[in-house]
Amino acid sequence: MAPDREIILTACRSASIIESRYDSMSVTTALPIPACAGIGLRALHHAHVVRERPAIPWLEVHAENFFVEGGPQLALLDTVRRDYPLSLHGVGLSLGSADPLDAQHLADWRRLIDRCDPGLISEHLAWGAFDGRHLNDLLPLPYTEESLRHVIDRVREVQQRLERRIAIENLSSYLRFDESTLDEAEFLAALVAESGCALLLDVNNLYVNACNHGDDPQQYLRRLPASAVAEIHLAGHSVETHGGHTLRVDTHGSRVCDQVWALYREALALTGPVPTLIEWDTDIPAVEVLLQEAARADIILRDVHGITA
Amino acid sequence: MASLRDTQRRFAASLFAESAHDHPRLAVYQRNLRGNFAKVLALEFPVVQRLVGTEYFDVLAWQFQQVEPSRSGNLHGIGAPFPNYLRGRFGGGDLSYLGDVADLEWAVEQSLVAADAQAPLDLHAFAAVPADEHHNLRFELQPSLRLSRSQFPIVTLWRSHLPDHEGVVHAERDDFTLDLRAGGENACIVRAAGDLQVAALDHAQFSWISAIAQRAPLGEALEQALNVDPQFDLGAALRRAVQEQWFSGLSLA
Repeated sequence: MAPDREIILTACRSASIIESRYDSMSVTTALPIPACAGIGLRALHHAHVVRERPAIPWLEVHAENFFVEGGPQLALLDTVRRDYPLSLHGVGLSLGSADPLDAQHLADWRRLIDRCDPGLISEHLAWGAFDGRHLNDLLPLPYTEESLRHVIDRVREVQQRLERRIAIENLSSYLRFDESTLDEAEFLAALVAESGCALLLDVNNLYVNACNHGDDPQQYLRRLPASAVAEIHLAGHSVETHGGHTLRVDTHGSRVCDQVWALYREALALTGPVPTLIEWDTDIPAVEVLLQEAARADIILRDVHGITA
Repeated sequence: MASLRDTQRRFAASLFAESAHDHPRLAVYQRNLRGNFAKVLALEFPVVQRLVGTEYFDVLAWQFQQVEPSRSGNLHGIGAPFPNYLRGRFGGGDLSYLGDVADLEWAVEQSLVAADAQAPLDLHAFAAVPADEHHNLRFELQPSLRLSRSQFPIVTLWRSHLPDHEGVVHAERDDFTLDLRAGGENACIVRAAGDLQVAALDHAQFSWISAIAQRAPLGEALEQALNVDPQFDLGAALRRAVQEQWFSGLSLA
């Protein structure tokens, strides 16, 4: 056996141990997500993946795309689930909204989980609806004691209803609120401590925010509860200029930039090897390009694992 | 201190305001709000998009979104009010068929995500029922069966403008002109044997299957079809329905 392969297997085994610890609330035996780089599966690649079954350690899909009664979309998910460990990533739960949690949305989540028994589930530290009107975007929250209490209660409720631990992702944000009294890392740390949720660390979002708001990303990483990080997201972003000011926008439409790769390495040094996902949502290239990005992440994962082991 | 609810009320309102455009950071959010909605609406209504052009479709989507915003974190449902919105806006004018085309597209969309088929009914089950009970039969329709009716030739229009998965329209011809007086077409949409089938039905067939869809017994459905066309052929209609797998079961009323 080639040494590389063995390291990956070791990394995957340690991921299963992490997974079983994280998943103590789970009522089923999900296929664990290995601590390797997977890719986000989008509609454009469905046919290719089903036909070619490329060697990808795991896949992630947007949960809401499969909130349907039946048909080709669900049949595809069943096929994919037979061949790959699967993670479900939600974008529409509106966890931080002042509106009540949407019972139908949670019921759809539950039904999908029961159907495909995912290795991991995740959502965002965000809101997206007001008074029943949905904006279908991931909007930032003011980091106050009030919103912290609110999000803690909601994450607890979601975890009870889904009988799973959920990983919560940090956003890219373009605006901040004067009323915030906590910083994001503090907010997430308190959320983890009180709700028992996991974290999905999006390193690109962290970098985009650091640039847009002038934060110190290293300090942010040090303040996060590293052991709660169950998954990392990597993606590309775009750069706009407005009147001489630069704004980085989280478009998921290009390769991961060098600064984000560097920050990823620093994050892994704190978290240890965790499942890492390449996300690409606009101007989506061929699967091979996504796999090249995943291979690059795997090299860093192996490096860091060698150091921390 | 502003409460969470107040903050979100102000933020949501600002995203629908024209002025969001002037603030680069707010504009990113407005772009997402408009873009995510328009993208899903275009996936659900590719033929309407084709008929009005991409640029105008985006304008239309934003105007529609302001009147009928998304009501769920799951974008699948946003298209439900679109056919009636288009009928309200374009009814009576040059684009009066647009709402009906949208109705057909929404029916297709609903059929694609409906529950999977039950075992299709075969004619043996029908033959087992004594002839004098036939008028009391009620048919169960496949969960994916949807109906759409129009005074315009919507099925022809839909077929000739439907892009494939790469966005290419195969049947469209540059000289395609719509003869609005060509007569109405009704559609019956069903997923059978893994494929989506869109069949054009004449008025009598449509009235027959519509009555069955509303749980009318066979005798009553036949009567309604004969009212539309005294020459309605029940045997042919039944054979077609079984062959195209519209039914999943039957029971005696």
